[in-house]
Order: sequence, then C-alpha cells, then structure tokens
Amino acid sequence: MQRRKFLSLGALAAVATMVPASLSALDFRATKPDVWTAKTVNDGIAKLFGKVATPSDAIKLTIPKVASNGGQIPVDIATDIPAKTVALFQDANPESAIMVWNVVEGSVVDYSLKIKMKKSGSMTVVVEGKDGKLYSTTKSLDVALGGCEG
Amino acid sequence: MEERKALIKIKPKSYADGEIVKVDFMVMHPMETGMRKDKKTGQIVPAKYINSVKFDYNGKIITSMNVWESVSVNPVFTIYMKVNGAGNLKVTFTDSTGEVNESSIEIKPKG
Repeated sequence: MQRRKFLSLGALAAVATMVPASLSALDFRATKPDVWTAKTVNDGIAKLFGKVATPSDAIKLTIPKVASNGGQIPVDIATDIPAKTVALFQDANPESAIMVWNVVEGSVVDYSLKIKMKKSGSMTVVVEGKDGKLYSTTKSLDVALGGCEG
Repeated sequence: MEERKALIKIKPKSYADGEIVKVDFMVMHPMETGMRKDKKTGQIVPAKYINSVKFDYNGKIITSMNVWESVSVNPVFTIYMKVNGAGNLKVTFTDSTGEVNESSIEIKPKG
C-alpha cells in the first residue's frame, strides 16, 4: 500500500526527499573524484585517505580461496575497530575501488556483498578509525572464470 | 525513470526493540561497467551502475555507501542495524545515469 502511494508521488517527491539525505552523507564521488579513476590499490588508498595504511589483525575479511564464478564473489567484512570509513579495493579490475562505506555513530561494521573480478588477484580492506589511523587487511584469491565478460 | 525491482529483508523475521538485526537489500540492476562489448553487435555497452546507496531509518542515515562498477549484477547489500523503536527503513539508491529510486519497509519490533 505504501509502495503504491509512494510510486504515485513520482519523481518530484523522490528528488525532494533526496536533498536532506545527500547533504548529511559524505559523497566521495563528488568530493574525491580521483578515487574513481585510481588504477592501483595503493593509489586508491592514497587518493581517498592521503595516508598509508598499517596491516591489522582486527579486521575480518572473509572471501573464498577459489571463486568458481568471477561474477559473484561473496565478500564479508567485519571489524570491532571504532570506524569512520571502511573501503574495499581489489587489484584485478581496471578500476581499483569497489565500495566505500560511511559508518555512522553507533552502527555495526559488518557488511556483505557480492563483487565481480576479471581475473585472480587480491582484495584489500581499509578501515579508517576514529583515531584517524588506517588499518588494512589483504587476502588473495583465485578466480576460475572471469566475471566481466557478460 | 525506470522502475527497479528492489526488496528489503530483515532477519530474523520477528525481533525485539534494541536487538541487532541483519538487513538485506536486493535490487535487480544490470550493473554495466561500460567496458563490456555486446557479442552480437560488437558495440560497447554503455556504463550503468549503482553508485550510491543510503540506508535511512526514521529520517536518520545509518549507513551510506559509495559504489563502483566492480559490484556484481543484481547486487545484495547486507548491513546490520540496531532496532530503535518502530518506524520506517528507507533505502535510496542512485544510478550512474542519474536514476534515483527508493524502497522502504516498516520496522515493527515485538514486545
């Protein structure tokens, strides 16, 4: 019922409700457009945070060792570090950034998603803590069938 | 503006106030990277992917995501959130072509 009501309001209402949301959330696409074109993981981290990350055991990155289908690779990220920003990068695709999460005070840092990768490579998670330090974890995986050929 | 099929699932189905629940947000989207060639015509398929997802709970943003092309076709975004009273969970997602869509679910804690 609510959905129907919502749809009838149309595009105008959608745009109107978007405005406060976009103001309070960080949009890296607008503020840091360089991240979008970064080709390597280190380049991406440098352009997003402007710092170098230190490896940490406190981040849990769960990925399969061998992915049979490169189009659907499950990724789980969890950490207990009080975080401000969480970013995920990989080094197989032409553009290194996959996703950046803005963590709001009091929320749980435990995310899952599925990604696609062209070939075997590695994934890096970077967590920016509230203390301003960067923590990272890297894991490599084999991709049996590339996921970008459609 | 094309309507996208989207679904929000909360696990477990019944939850109490103050509990941490898993929220799955699924959307039917092609997530074209702009690098793939159409096998029949040989033309490059133009880029069209979700670039921003926002989770809004009772008017307050709980998580916002910046998304790039590497996310899979028909993506599922999973987060965990703390239930804090009855209300509305709204997910707003934006496309690289400027398409804006929303999906929402009622949050009804038991007891």
